[in-house]
Amino acid sequence: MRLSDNDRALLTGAEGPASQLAMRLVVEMGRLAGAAELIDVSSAHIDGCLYHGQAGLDFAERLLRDGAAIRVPTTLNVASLDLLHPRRFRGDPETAGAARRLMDAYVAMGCRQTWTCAPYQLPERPGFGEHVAWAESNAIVFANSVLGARTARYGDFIDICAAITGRVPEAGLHLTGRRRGQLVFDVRALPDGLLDQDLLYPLLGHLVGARSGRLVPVVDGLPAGVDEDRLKAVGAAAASSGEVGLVHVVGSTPEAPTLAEALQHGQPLEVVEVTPAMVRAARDQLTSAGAPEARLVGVNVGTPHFSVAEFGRLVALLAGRPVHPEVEFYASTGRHILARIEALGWLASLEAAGVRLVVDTCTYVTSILEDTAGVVMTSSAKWAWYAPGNLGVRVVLGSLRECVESAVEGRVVRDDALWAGP
Amino acid sequence: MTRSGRGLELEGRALVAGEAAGPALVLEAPLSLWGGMDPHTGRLCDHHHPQLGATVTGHVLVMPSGRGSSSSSSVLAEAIRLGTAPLAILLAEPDEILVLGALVARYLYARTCPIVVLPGDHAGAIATGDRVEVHGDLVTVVRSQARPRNLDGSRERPDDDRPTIPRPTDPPAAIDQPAAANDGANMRLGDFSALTFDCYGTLIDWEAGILAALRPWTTAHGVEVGDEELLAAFGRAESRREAADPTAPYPRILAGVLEDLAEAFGATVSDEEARAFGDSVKDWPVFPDTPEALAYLKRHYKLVIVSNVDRASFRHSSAKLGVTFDAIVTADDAGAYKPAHNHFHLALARLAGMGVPKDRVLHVAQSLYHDHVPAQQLGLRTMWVNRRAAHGQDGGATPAAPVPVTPDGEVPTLAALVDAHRQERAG
Repeated sequence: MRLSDNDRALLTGAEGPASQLAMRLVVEMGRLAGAAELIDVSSAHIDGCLYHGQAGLDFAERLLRDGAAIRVPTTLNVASLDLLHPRRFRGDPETAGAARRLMDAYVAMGCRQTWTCAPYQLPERPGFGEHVAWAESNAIVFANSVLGARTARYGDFIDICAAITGRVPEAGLHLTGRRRGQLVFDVRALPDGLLDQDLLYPLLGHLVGARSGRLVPVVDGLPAGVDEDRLKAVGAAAASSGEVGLVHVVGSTPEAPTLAEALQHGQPLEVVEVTPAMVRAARDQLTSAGAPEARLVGVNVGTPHFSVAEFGRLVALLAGRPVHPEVEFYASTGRHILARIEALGWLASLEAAGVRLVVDTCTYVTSILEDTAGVVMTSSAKWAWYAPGNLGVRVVLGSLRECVESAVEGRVVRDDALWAGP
Repeated sequence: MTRSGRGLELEGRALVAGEAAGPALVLEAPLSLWGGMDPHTGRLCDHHHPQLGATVTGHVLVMPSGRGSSSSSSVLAEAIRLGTAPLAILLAEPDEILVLGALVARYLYARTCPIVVLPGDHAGAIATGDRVEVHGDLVTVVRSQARPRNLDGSRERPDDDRPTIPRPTDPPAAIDQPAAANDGANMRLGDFSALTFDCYGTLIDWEAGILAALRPWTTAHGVEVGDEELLAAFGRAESRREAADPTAPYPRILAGVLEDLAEAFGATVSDEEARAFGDSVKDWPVFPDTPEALAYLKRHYKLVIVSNVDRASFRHSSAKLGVTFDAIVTADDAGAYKPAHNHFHLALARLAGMGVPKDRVLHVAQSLYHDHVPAQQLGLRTMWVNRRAAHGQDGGATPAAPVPVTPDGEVPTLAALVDAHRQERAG
């Protein structure tokens, strides 16, 4: 692998042990990926600030002790604690202390306290063609697909190494050829009524991800101009059920104005006709057996973090009605979005209705829910995918409308007619 | 791919070089360690994975590929730190996320988990239970005799007839034994001289005992949960506690389990309630068919208890069982909880002292997870007392088996085992 003089200097420890370790790991990953050289990145997004155990903390504190400092603007993903609402955390104080130390270590290295899994909702997001080093699977797929920025699938440890060195291997989705669509999902067989449903998009993402594995999927046949929140849902679900880092949506994402361009004028490996039955199966897969009939104890929305537009819909759907007293309703979002909905006056009306806002973290990665013995409803395929394993809860996936109606009535309300077979 | 006297030799590419040896666990689907494996227990907790509940600890993990979250690096590093990581990981294609976790663990803790990519479909040559050795790029596979039985009842022939290499912890008594002479399909109860029994769940109705001891607590704290769900939560917490603290006395495990249940169900528990639950073993009832069946079997076999309980608690149960056992192996003796192998090594050593070789021992138990998997790993033949068949479902307080396991025989109750023995003798 060709290394620049500066790369070599870091590698030999000229700038201290932290950047030496960081460069060693970047180079090691480059060798593994068969990269010809390293390239510059203009920003980084760090997922390593979420506490998974002592090892992650040992790594961050070791880097810090060895003098680590970031070289490019760097944002932070969700952590384990909601620093604005610290009493939401229901785990043990020891974990809280370690999680807090981890957050502090990344801030001390110079990262911005954004604490969001949706850094693409920040005003200064990367532009088309820009190379970045982003971690967090939904942020990666959004950056590549919706923004047209270029990031490989970075994760814990390598994310901060890229931020410290400002370099990444020229490999994976940084390379134009690796961004070529490989599998086409044709949705023309879906009825228009389904295409209007918000819930279709996470379901579509789920089935696309499960089928794609590591390939680059292309969704073809949706009306042009699918909005960012729906694209966010497609990507987050696809990156949960598969290892998808880029999904082209023809007519909506910048590298896919046409199917031919998404395929870089090549042939797809396969064209999958998406049928209503496949979408129904995805809906069933993301709902725990027997859960729709069981006692509803919670509703969780905002995975990935809710946007201003999604809060607008939530306020409208609630229409001034309060959440049922036996249902915990959580909406997760970033601090910057919280500030904006507060300015819009929505925060007060949501809190009056009994909606609990969670920032800096997310309800499926940390201990926040008070009741995990009953059934929890969510509009997020990603939440539905991970929460049963992380929290031991049973889950019902529904549209935002269904989530709100259920929360108000205190029982699972779903419109099954929409999804019934022919 | 070559065959040597040692078995099948595969030339791979070490992404993280190292040495390891142990039984293979072959994943049937890709796995994201984050959200998919609990680093505190080494168990798979991905509800979408077909092998939910399997334990990677102590195994060479063979997986088609990683999947999903990039936080898997942290989880692998943490598992390496805690000692719950696989002995090694064999992949069909490189996985940067796993490699990072292994490299960072090596940097921080000076220990790691070797990772090797096997070319083509070589990983397909390995089955769960095969013994795998990793030396840098080289992977050696020795076929297990404990491979699942074929449909016709025959077993696959091993690739070579040498015994598999013992784990360093195996005492000599447990090795150098010929493989089980008989096949499950034509197993005769008369071929055995000793029966080793699991106690709680097999002889003692532990689920009734657990529920009776837990219900006052759920009522007092307004915890609304069905029996099956409560037992399943108990099973998860119990196995986690036992793995995390293998030398803790069983009453302390139980007290901890109640604390976990309280946390899971969002309730509280007083020290007194936790202690009372810990002491409830002495009140757990015996299955109605147990005393008479044991009295009969005692006339034909040496009887040995192989239990996860402590000695003090077992004394109370022993009075209810009504027979004198030839040997009793408890968690106190083993310093570990099943499915760890210690219990079986001790029981086999005691039986060897009485002149009973391993191939004349039948292990009788309800739990595939705690009993059948480890017993078969050690080459013991097993009889499944499938007490839960009557419930029309599996589960309850017993976690699912981590790997496919085929007991050599199955009966619904202990009384049915007695009937089978009587019929066999009647010819």
